[in-house]
Amino acid sequence: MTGPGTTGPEKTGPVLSVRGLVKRFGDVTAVDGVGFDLLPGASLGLVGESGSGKTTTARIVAGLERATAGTVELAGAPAGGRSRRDRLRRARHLQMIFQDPYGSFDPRRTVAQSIAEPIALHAPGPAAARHARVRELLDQVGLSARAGDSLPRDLSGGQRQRAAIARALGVAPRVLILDEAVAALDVSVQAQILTLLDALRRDTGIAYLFVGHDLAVVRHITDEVLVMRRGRVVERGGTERVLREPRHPYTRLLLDSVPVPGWDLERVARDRRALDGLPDDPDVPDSPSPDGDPTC
Amino acid sequence: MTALAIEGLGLTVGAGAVPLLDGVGVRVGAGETVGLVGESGSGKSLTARSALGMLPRGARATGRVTVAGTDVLAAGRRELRELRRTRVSMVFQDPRAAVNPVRRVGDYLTEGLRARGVPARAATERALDLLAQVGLRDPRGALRRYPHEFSGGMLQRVVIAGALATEPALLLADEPTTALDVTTQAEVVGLLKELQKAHGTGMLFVTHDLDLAAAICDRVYVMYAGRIVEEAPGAALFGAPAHPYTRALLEASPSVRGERAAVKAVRGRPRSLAEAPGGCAFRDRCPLAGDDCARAVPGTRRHGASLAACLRAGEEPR
Repeated sequence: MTGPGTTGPEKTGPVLSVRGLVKRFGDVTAVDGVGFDLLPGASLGLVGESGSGKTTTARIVAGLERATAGTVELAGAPAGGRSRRDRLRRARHLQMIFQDPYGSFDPRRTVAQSIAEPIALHAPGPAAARHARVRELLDQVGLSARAGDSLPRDLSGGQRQRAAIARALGVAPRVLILDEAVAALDVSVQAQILTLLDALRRDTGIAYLFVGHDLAVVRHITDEVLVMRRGRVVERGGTERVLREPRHPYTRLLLDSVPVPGWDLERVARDRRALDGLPDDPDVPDSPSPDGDPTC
Repeated sequence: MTALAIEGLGLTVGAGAVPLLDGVGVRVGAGETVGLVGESGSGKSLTARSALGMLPRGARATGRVTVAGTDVLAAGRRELRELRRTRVSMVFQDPRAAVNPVRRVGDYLTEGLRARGVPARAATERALDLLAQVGLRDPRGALRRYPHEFSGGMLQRVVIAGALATEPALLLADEPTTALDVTTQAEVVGLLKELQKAHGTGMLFVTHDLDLAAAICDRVYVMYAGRIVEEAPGAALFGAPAHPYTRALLEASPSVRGERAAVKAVRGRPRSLAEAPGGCAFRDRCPLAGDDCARAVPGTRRHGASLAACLRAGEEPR
């Protein structure tokens, strides 16, 4: 484990380390003792349904929400700070991509201008070098120079998501948070983005924290997975193991809920009843691993 | 008895006659579940809405749409209203957009019945019965509550109850579970199938989710760029896709079951009919396309259990 005293990014230790994360909104506990490690170049999935706390967890890690309790360490140093310096450091190591890239682009600026912005902020230098870097990034995500000169509204959903990825890669971050990043795309386009994400991880050694509800996509893109329910991690492990031999009844319910020819809806109903019999009030521990235990 | 018959439906819109649909044929028998699958711009929702006579503003339609004996395209306003009130119901993706947020659920469920002349007390009884059928625990309490007091899944049940209140011959379900969590989706689908079986309602199930369509539909139509490109029994669609587009969709979808296989991306993006190339609309993205594919829109031919509009149906990519 990497302590706060370590200087510089630890190459072998986790690039992201989360411990005992808690988030309360008034009386509601949205995240309740979540902890995990993300190694360089690894891909970790956070799966669950609405209200499971997966997105809140990701937003805290990205610095978009403040945790009620718990710690987040990024590249060997605490990452919870709110100062400009802290935010810049966080943005240099960690970028986030959302379901709808439309909302994260300035509608009046060209895509290339938007991609150049974080580069100018984090690695100021001559404009010519920046333009060259933007061209390189566009090429890396499979966008033409012409697409770069377009406004966001003139691009398709898949092209916009490519642009969002290019912008995130501009500062060479070590962690990319993908929050339902392919959920809104048509299947044939989704496959293109998944293939792109595979290649980027292979080529750059970037690590992914992938938040999603689609188990098939999570299986494709992650090595390890945390299954979340009502703010808690109910199961964790290698993605293949969890999907092939789920241990928690909730994971089983999620799997049986995936449609398949000869779909057994009776079984889904049975799974659900089995789960209803289980205690899920917060004073009974239902997580197979203790709170904040870093088994990933 | 056929719940829905769409034959050779073509739609154009505007002064330039921009094409939206071309030669679409869809049939739904009584008690049958039929899937309509496609990506953005394929025209699947337009096709479903045509069964209610809901065409885009300024659209010109050719062909024939028959619902439970009524010729929809020729029907006047009064006839259409009668049709929508009694014979066809629709369930949309977002239940919150389908119900009036400032009126109670009881009003929503009884207004259709009251409009048909059912007395207030009898309408309420019927609403209670329906809410119990769709699995709400406290139907009497639910009648007095407002839509915002329900979760998305529960409100979709209310909408389904409303859709079935008049015992329609045809239910149009347009992405009815897309906005719901996966476990809720399974419940709502189970409910739809159960109620449909009990009432013998024909259901046209519109979805972008091939897995879902194959899992619950007796037959599935696959649409691309405003045309039907394949028709197959639900299970056969998975085992032996005949059209290269269907195959491409399956190969592009990651799967949660079986061996972990690489997804195969399709080049380009889905097109609408107006943007598509002449001849076969899929040919600019198709791995099998040849010069002959540009000559004309391919006719339908049988391949295995499928009907596919392709000159090379069932061929393996070279």
